[in-house]
Amino acid sequence: MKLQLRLLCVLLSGILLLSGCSSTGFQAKSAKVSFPEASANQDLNNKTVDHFIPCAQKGDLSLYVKPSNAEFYVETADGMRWYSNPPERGEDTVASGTYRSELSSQLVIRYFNPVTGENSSLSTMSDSVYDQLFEILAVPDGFCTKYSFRFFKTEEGADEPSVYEITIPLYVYISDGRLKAEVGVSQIENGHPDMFLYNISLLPFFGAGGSQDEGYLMVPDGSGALIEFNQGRDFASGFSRPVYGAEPTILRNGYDLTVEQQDIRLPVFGVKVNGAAYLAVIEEGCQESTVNAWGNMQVTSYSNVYADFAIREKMDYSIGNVNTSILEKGSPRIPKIGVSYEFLSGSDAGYGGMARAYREHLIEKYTLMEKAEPAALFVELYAGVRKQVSNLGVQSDTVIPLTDTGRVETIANALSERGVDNVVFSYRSWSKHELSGKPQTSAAMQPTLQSGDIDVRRLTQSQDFLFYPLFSDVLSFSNIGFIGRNVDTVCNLSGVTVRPRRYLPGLGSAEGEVYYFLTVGKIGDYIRRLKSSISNADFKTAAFSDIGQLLYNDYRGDGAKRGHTQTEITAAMKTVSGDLRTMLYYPNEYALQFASDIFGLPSKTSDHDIIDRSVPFYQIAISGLIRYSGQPLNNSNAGSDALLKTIEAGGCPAYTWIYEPAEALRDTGLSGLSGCHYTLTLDQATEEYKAAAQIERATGGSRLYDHQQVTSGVFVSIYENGARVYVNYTYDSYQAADGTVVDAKSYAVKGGAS
Amino acid sequence: MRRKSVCICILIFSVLFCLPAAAAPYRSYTYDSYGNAVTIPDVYEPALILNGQDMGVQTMGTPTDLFVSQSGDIYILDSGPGRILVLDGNYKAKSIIDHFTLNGEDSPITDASGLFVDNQNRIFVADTGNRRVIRTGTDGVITAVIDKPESAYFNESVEFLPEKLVIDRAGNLYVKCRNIYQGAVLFDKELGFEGFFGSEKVVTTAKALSDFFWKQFMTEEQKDAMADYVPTEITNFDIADDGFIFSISPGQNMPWQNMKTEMDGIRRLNPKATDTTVNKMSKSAYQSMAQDARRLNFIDLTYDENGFLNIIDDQKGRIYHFDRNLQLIAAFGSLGDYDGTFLGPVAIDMCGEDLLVLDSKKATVTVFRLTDMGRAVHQAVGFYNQGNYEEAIEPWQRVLEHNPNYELAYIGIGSALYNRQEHQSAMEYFLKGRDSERYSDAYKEYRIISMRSNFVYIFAGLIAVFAAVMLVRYILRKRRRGIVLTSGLQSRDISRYKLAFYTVLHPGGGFDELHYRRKNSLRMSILYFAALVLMGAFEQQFIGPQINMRDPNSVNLTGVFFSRLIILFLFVLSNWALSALADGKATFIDIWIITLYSLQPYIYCGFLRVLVSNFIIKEEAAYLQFIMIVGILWSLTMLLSGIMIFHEYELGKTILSLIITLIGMLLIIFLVFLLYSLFQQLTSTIMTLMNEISFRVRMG
Repeated sequence: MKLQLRLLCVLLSGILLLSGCSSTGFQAKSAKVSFPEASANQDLNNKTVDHFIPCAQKGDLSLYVKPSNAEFYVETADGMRWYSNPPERGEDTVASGTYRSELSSQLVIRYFNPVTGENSSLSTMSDSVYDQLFEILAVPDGFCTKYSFRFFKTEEGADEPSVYEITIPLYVYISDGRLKAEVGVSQIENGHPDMFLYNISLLPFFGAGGSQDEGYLMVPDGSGALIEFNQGRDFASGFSRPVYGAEPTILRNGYDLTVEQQDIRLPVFGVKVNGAAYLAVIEEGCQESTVNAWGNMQVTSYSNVYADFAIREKMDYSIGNVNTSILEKGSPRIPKIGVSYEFLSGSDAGYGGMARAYREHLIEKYTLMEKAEPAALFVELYAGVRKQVSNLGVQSDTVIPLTDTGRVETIANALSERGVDNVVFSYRSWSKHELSGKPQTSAAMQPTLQSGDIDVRRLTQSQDFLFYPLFSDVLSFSNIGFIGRNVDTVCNLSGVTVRPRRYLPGLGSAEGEVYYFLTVGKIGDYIRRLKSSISNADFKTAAFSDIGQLLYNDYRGDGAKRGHTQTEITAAMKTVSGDLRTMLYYPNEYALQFASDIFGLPSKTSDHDIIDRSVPFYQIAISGLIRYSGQPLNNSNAGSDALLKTIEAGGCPAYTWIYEPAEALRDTGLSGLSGCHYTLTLDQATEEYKAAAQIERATGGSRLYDHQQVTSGVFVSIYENGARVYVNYTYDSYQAADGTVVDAKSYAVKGGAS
Repeated sequence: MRRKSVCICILIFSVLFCLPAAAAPYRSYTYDSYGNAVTIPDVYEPALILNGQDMGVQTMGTPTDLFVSQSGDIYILDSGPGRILVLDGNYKAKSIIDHFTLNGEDSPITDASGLFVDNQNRIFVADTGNRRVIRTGTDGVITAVIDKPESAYFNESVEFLPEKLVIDRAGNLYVKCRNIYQGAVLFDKELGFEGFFGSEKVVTTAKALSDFFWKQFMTEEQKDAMADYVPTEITNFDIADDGFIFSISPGQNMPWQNMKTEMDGIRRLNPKATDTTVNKMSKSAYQSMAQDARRLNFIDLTYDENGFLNIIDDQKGRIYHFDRNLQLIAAFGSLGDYDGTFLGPVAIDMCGEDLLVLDSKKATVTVFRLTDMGRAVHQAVGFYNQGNYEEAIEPWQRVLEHNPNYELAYIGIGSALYNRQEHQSAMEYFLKGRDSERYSDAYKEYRIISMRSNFVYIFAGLIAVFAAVMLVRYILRKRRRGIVLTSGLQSRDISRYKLAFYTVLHPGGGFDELHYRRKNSLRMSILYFAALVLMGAFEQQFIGPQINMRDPNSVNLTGVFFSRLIILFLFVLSNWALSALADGKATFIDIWIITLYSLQPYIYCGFLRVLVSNFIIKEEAAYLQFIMIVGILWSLTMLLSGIMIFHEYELGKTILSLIITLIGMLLIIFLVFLLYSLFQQLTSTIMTLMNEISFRVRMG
C-alpha cells in the first residue's frame, strides 16, 4: 500500500510539473541580422545647424536632415517633400500633452517599470532631442540617429541618484529606390535595470496630411480602406489593428464578440497627399506590428498613419482590484523593426498605384508567377456537422451529413446543366479529425459522409470541376488528449497552457468550448504527419484556412514569437503544398506563395468609424497572380450590396452551400449559417457566374489594374486591357463620361482591347 | 473510442476565423424555447450613418434625444449647443432651430434631455437645465412654458427636472421627471397639472417584509444604510397607435428574491395606468433573456406602427426587437468603433420602416434598414398576429428556408395547418416549434379523429388483450402445482426473484418471507435501481410533448444516476444510523433492499405515466398525477411494511422512524456540505501555495 502511495505521489508531481510550462527565458533563434555601418560625421552631428542639409542622394530620392533636432525629409523626382514631422506643426491647435511632443518625434517608445508599476511613454523629441541627448551618424546613403534617454534613480543607501541611460538607434537610408527606416532593437543599450521597453512607434507623422491638404490614408483593413483627410470625425477613436490578427493567446476579457472585425492580412499602409503618394511596407517585425491611423482633429490636426511594434509581449491582468502586467523577460526577441517607403507620383499616386507597387514587391519577394485563370464559381460545401444526441440519457456525438460525396456530384451536375462550366469546390467539415475536434493530422474521411465508392480522392481528381478538401483545424483544435494538452499546446507568458473558449451568441461571452493552439515546436511534426496522410490518400488538391491566417506567440520551452511561428508555418507549408494544388482561405501575405486559389477575399472593410470607403487594394495586388473569390454571397450577413461589391473587386462569385435543407442544421453549431440550401441560390449563382464570365470576356482575362470613384456611389474598375467595369450603388441610373450607362444598383461593362 | 461521460458540446466554431464579412459587424440572435441564444439572419442592417455635417452643422455637440414626427420629419435635440436639428424623411438637412425666444426675449434651452413633436408640429422640449417644459414652433418662438406645478406633491424639497415626454392622442402630456417615484407627471391638454401616471408597484417580497419589520427597530443611520422600497422611476416611454403607453423602468437587482431585471421593467400601460403587458415568451427564453438582461440597462424604446417594439440598452449597445406579444424577434447591435455599433446610444425611434439610433458620443444617427429577411419576418408576424395564418405561411417558409432557428415560424405554420384542420401536420410543426400547449390542442383534435377512424381496431385490440390475459392466467394456474398466490404463502419453492415481484402485491407476506427465510436478493435490488434510473431517462426522453416539451438531446443519464443514487443512499444511511439508536434489527443491505423493493410501484407507475402521457392532452394531466400518487402511496405502504418487519417495530414507531430518517437525511447533507467546504478551503490553500512556489521558481 505504501509503495503504491509513493508511486502515486511521484506520478502526481510529475503531472504537476508537466502541466506548468517551463519557460526558461528562451534564446533568440533569429536569423543573422545586419545593420548599415555607421560612422561619425561632423556635419550631421553639428547640433547648431538649424536647417536641413543634404545627407544622401540616390536615384530619384534625396534625403535631407536637420542636425539640430534629427528631423528629416525625402524629396522625390517630382519635387514632393515628405517630412518626418509636419513642418507647420507649430500652428496645430488640437494636439495637447504627449501628442504635441509626438508630432515632433521620430520614435515613440512605451515602457513598463515593474518595480514602480509605471507604464508610460517616451518620445524622442521631449525626452531625448530636447535635452540634446542624441547623436547623428552617417551610414551609406543615409544617416543613423542614436537617441539617448536618461533616467535618475536613487538607490537605497545612496546619497546621489545614479544615472541610467537607454540608447536606441534609428537608421534612415535609401535602398532599392525606397526609403528605409529601421530601428536596431538588438542594438538598444538599456542600462536601466527596471525599465522594460515594450513598444516602439516608428515615424508616426511621416507624410501626415494637414488640414489644408487633400488626400487620404490607406489601411489594409479587409480589402483595403481609405480614411480621407478632414472628414470632421473628431469623436471617433483612431484605427488600430494588429497585422496578421490580434494575438489570440491573450484573452480579451469582457470583449463583446458579437462584433466581428476584419483582420489585417497585409503588412502595408499608404498615404496620398495632394497628388503624390507613398506605399509603406512593414519589412521587419511585421508580425509584431500594429497599423494605426488617426484622422484630422482627433488627436492632432493631422491625419497620420504609422506602424508600432511590440518588441516585448506584455500581458495585462487583474487580480481582484489590482491591475498589473507581466512582461516578457530577457532581451527582445525581435532584432530589427523596419518600414520601407516607396514613393509614387502622377497616375500612380493613389491606392491603385500603391497596390501595383505592392504587387511588384510580392512578385519579387515570393517569386510569384503571372497566371491567368478562367473565371469560376466558387462553392464552399459543408460535408457534415457534429450534433450531440442522447439516447435514453447516454450522450453521444453523431455526424449529420449535409453534403456527402455523392451529393457533391449532384450539385456539380446541376450546375453544369445550367451552363456553369467552371466550378471550384471547397469541401468543409468532412474529415474525421475535424469533426471530432482533433488536430488535423490525417486525411481520413468521416465514413458516414462517403456515399458509395465516391471518395474524396476521386473528387480531387475529377476532370469536371476543381475540388479542394479543406483542412481547417491544423493550428487550433479542441480535442486533444491529456498528455498532448500539456506538451503540444501553446503556453502564455505566465507559463499557463492557453485555453480560450469559443464565443457564444447572445451576450457574446466566451463560454463555449475550450480550444488550444498547437505549440510552435510541433508545427512541423504535425504538418508532416498530415502531409504523409494526404500523400497516402493520393489527393491532388488541398485547401487550408487557419494555416494561412493564424499566428501566435508561444512560451513553451524555448518558445517562439510570431515571427518564428511564421517561419515554421512557411517551412511546413512548403512541404505540404509542394505537389498539391492548394487553396487558401483569405490568407496572410506570407502564405500567398502557396496558393493557386484564394477563397473569401473580402470586398469590403470592417467599417470602422473613421473609414470612409473600401477599395480593392488586396485584389489589385494579386489579380493576375492568384485567382480569388469574394466572400460567400448568400450567408446571412453578406449585405444587400454584396454582389456588386464582388463585381467591383473583380473576384469570382462565391457561395456556401449544403445539399440538405436548412432544417438539418438545427441545434448544431452551424445553425447560424443562412440560406445555404443550394436550390435557394442556384439560379442566382448561375447568373453571377455568367456575369463574371462576361466580364472576363470583356477584359480578355487581363488583370485588375486600377480602381476609381467616378462620383458618389459610382465606381469603376479598370483592367489592364482597358476594359472598364462600372458599378452603381445609387438608386438612380448614371451615365459615364465614355457614354456607358449604368442602371441603378447595377453594373455595366465596357470592353477593352482584346 | 474514448467517450467522456460529461457531455461534450462540440460546436464547430472554426468558422470563427473564416466568417464572411458582415454588412453589420455583429450577428443577430434570438432565444429558443430551451433558453439558448441562437444566431439568426439580420433583421436590420446599418444603412446610413448621419453626422453633424449631414445635418448642416460642423458637428453635433451633445445630442440627447431624437424624435420622428407624424409628418415624417426627424428632430434631434442637441443639448450642448442648445439647438434642435431637423431632417426630412430622406435624411436631408431641413432646418436648424438654435434660437429660442420667449415674449421677444432670448430664452435659450440648457441641458435639455427630451423632446416630442405633436401632430400639429409643435415641439415640446424638456428643458431640464431650466427646470421647465417649453412648447415652441419651428421658428423658435416659445408658446407655452410649464414650470414646477403648484401642488402638495411638489413641495420645497422636490425639484422639477423634466427629462422625457410623451403626448397621447387626447393631447395629454406625460413628463418623466428625475427623482419622481410616483410615475410620470401628467398634464392635460391645457397644460394644467393633473397628477401622476403609471408608478411601478413595489413588490412585497419576503425580504421586503422582513426589512420592514426590522426597520421598526432601527436607528436613522441604520435605516439610511438599507435599501429603500420605493417604486422605481420610469426610465423612458413611448406611445403606441392605440393609445397605450409603453414604459421601461430599471430592474431592481436585489439578491435573494425575485430577480427583477430589465425585462420586468417593460410595461404596457392602458389609460388607467394598469399594466396590460402581454408576454407570450416561453419561460426558458424569458429566463435566459432576463439573465442576460441583468447586464443591460434599457434607456429608450420605440413602438412602430406594425406593432413591433424596439428597446435599446447602453451597456452593451443591444437593441431588442419584440413583437406586440413581447416575443423576441431579434437582438442585435453592440458597442464598438464600427458602423452599426455605438459608443453612447441615447435614443431610438422609427422613421417609416427604418430604425434610427442616436449616439451621443459618436454624435451620429445610425439608420437601420429592414433586410429582406426582416421584411419576411415582419410580414409573417404581422399576418399571424392579425389571425391571417394562411397568408403568413409563405413568408414563414421563406424564413425557414434560410435559417432553421425561428421557432415562431414553425408555430406560425403550425397554426395555419391547425386552422385548416390538418392536425397531424400541425402537430409536427408545433413539435418543431417546441410549443407544448399548441401541440396539445392539435393532438386533442387529432386524437378524436384518430380514435373515430380506428375505433374498430382499438376495440378489437382491447378484446384480444383481455382474452390473452385470461388465457395466460388459466395456463399458469394449471401449471403451478400447489403454489397458492394469495397472502400467507407457504411454499418454499418460490425463488428469490419471484419473491421480489411478489412483495408488490403482498407486502406483508413477502417481506416476512424475505426477513425470516433470508431470501433477500441484492441482484434484484440493483436491477430495480437500474430500472429507476432508466425511468428517469425514459421520462425525460419519451414524455409526451403535450405535457412537457423537453430537449431530448439534453437528457443526461449520469445526472439521473447520481441524483437517485445519492438520495437513496442518504435514506438508507440515515435509516440505518437511526436503527442503531432505535433498536432496529435490519442491516444496511437489508434496508437498501427493502427500499428498492418498495420502489417498484413507483417505477412501474413511472413507466405507465410516460406511456399514458403520450395519449392524453394537457387538460388531462391530472391523470398522470393520479398515477404517480397511486404509485407513491403504494410504495410508501410497502416501505412501511418492510421497515416494520425488518426492524421489528410497531406501526407507530415505524412512522416515527421514517420521519426521523428524513430529518436525518437533512442532517447528513448539512454535514457533507460542511466537510466539503472545509476540504475545498484546504485544497485551494494548497493549490495557491503550489502556484506561488512554481511561479517563484519560474520567474526567479
